[in-house]
Amino acid sequence: MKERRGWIGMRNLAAIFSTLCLLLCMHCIKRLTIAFFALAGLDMLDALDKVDRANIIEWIYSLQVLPCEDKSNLSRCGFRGSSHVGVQYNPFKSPATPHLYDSGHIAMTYTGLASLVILGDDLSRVNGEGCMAGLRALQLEDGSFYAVPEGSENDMRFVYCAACICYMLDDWSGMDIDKAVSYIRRSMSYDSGLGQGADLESHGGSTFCAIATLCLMNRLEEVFSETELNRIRRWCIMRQQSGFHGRPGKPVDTCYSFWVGGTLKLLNIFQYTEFEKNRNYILSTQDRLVGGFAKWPESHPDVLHAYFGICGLSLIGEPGIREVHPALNMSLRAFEYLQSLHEKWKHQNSKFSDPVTNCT
Amino acid sequence: MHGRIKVKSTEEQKEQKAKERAKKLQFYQATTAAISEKRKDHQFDQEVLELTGQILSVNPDYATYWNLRRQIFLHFEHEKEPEEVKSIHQKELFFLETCLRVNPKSYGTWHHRCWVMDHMQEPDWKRELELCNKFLEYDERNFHCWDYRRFVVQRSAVPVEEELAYTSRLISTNFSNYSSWHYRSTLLPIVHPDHKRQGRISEKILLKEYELVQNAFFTDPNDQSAWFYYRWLLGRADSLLKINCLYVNRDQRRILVCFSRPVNVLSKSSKLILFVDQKLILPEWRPVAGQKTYSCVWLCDLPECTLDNGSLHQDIKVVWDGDDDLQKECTIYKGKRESWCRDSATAEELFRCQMSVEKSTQLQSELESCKQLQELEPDNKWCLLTVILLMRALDPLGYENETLQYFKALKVADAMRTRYYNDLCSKFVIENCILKMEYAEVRVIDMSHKNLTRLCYLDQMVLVTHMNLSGNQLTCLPPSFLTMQCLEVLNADDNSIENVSGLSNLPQLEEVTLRNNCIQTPADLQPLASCLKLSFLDLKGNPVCNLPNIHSELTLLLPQVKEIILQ
Repeated sequence: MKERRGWIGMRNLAAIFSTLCLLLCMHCIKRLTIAFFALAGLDMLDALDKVDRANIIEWIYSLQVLPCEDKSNLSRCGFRGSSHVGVQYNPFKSPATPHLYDSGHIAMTYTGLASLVILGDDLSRVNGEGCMAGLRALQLEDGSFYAVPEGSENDMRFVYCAACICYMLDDWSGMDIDKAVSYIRRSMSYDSGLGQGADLESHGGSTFCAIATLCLMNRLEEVFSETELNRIRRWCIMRQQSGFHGRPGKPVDTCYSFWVGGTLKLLNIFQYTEFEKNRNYILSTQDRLVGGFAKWPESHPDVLHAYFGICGLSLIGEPGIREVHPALNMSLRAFEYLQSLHEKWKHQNSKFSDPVTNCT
Repeated sequence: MHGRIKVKSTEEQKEQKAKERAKKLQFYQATTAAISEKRKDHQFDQEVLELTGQILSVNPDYATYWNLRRQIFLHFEHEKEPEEVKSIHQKELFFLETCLRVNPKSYGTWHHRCWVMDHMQEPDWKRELELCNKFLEYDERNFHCWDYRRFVVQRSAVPVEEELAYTSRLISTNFSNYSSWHYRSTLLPIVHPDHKRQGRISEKILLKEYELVQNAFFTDPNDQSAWFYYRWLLGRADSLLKINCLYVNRDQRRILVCFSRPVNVLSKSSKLILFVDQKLILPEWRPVAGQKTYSCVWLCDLPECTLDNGSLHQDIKVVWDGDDDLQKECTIYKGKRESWCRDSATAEELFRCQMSVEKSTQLQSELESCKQLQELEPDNKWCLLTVILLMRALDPLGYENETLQYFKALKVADAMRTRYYNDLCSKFVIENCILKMEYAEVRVIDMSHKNLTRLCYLDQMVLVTHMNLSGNQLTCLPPSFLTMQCLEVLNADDNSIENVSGLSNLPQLEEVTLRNNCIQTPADLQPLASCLKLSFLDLKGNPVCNLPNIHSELTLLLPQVKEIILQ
């Protein structure tokens, strides 16, 4: 039974908007990622007018870990997930007093910047120098990235975050591209999917992260031969069961309609997937009362699956949803806004120094 | 966000739940506040361990607190006696185990366990391996656990052969074990390497492995893991970069170089050097498809008089001075318009490997077994795919018709991926067309009436002069068509072509028929304007022919074409 499109939109709107108001305590260290999913979702539904942009922009900037006067904490800069560490509220670009336990988190820097772009901010208060230094400090010898300078697990998710950060700030000095590329190549498994790292099992999420990273670097066809790309295409297209799953033998999950669907789009064969079955699965995970999507039918919806469900539907051209830019994981509209920012910076660069990297 | 299923509850239960949640929240906030205080005062003690422990056992993703615990342990390592530190580490391992039982997929927990093990004076790696075994019994697909296992194996120098034996044990108790096959694929090339092909397995072991996998998928034909593993075993090593064609045309004063994969000839780190009669020439290379940085096919124009017709012959050589040292030579004789040197796809094993008699015999018998299995399991797509795979590996031309039959069955068994299979079939058909062309040693390729839905391997057709694509399901002649630099005659009748963007700058193209296609407007034919030798164009049966004044418009657009047929 086909769902009416208006119904999808409004229900999801309600779900996402209410999430913004009730950011969950349990996830407070990654509050910024939750905000990102909500904002990006609203943007995909063309409903950003429902939020108080200015206030949210201020809040995001308050999460920026800025360099102090003598720049001794430069390699710890970026964005933090929330105010949980207890640093004083400071949405301005002025030099900070460094806090012993304060540092950026790569996924928060990524989602912070992406949220600012989606909200139409011009990134002028972003400390580019800090972000780049913070990013460089996180890259390991093998090309992958930690999330935080104290160390953490390292895998393809953070490689993708790093690539997005560099792409958005139009500055690739934040990473050693060749090392990252080598990490990606080594993560290809025997079945031609890509794992989180070398010798690890192929996974729809890490495959997306790897391919999207290469697309953002504009190196896809250089790094993988046509034969290899064909094998990756084959692995990905076999992930569709009704919706998509992330690995063979696993149940389908709404978010893979984007992770795998988006990868197939970047590899130019999304049109070979079965749209109807994909659509029906995503819609079957919709909550009839509050809206939003869950990973499975009859499960609790959450903002991550709501957002990726919307993106999955966008890929198949669902009316009422904006087009998504799969590599950068935001609406095409937001992506084009970012392009216009880059144009502006290039123009200004020819006259002055890059305003993004100025500290004051 | 871990897929909790909804459960109905009564009003009373809901109220009770609300009270519990409120209590939990209060406790959570009080505890995190207390931790903040102590941290601010730099108090690294047992109490902070207690407090962070309480939070982490409920929320193991709180990375900051794992960090704090590590800080405390480092502090203890300085302040306390080794015996005490040892017991603290042991307690931590125990605590981590309880966290893992609650959430075996928390990155933070596993990462912290690695750290603790690395900081112990006498780590018990055997016990850790046992822990992995236990957790893999609960969930063999838990990649965090597999990752941790690899860490343990590496740290304690467990011999690879032992791990290989572990996978054998897992597989024999439960064939449907995707992660085990995966792990095995990483170990086999280390334990039994093929010394000629990097990353592949020695043939003797390979043949034994085929048997093992066959047993698996005959036991349970519906499990994907064995099929994927079998496919990997049948696969070939990736080819190295090569120059597979060098072409010289005297009339056009042009040289064409074709690589086995896209390269950037204009990058700083590599150069494509040209010698004509041992004289160094540094031409301006350009990719065959204008704007691309990376291309398989590169062209250059030679200065006048380089290829004069005076001497009996001239030697042309290109040298690729990149990471690999490659070169190709050919000789052009007096009076000849053109010359070339090309590696055949057959010789280069582009589409399939040469096989030893043993391997060939074994695979032949496996093909027979798979066919029998397929009769018992007609809906099984993996079986069908494997039959097709084996036929391609053994004898692509000999099994051509049978392969097409199996593709028909595949599209019925797995209708969802019909379009993908059409493309895959097109690819195999084109491979066969190329093999046939090479066998006949001609420059004419016939790909007509083969249900092609897309074109590929066009970089293998650089020397082709005549191409027949009629009677297929193509919708466009894409930019990859630009590699057809020697093409003189093209028949693309009876397709659904709307777009001919690849038919541009083809210097030898003289005749094109595009009857019964979907060309809509004169603008669609714009690319042809750059094909300067084009003299014949047949567009009968296209919507564009019905437009008013079409003949004069086309004459303006394509002034070089002497004959344009519209009906």
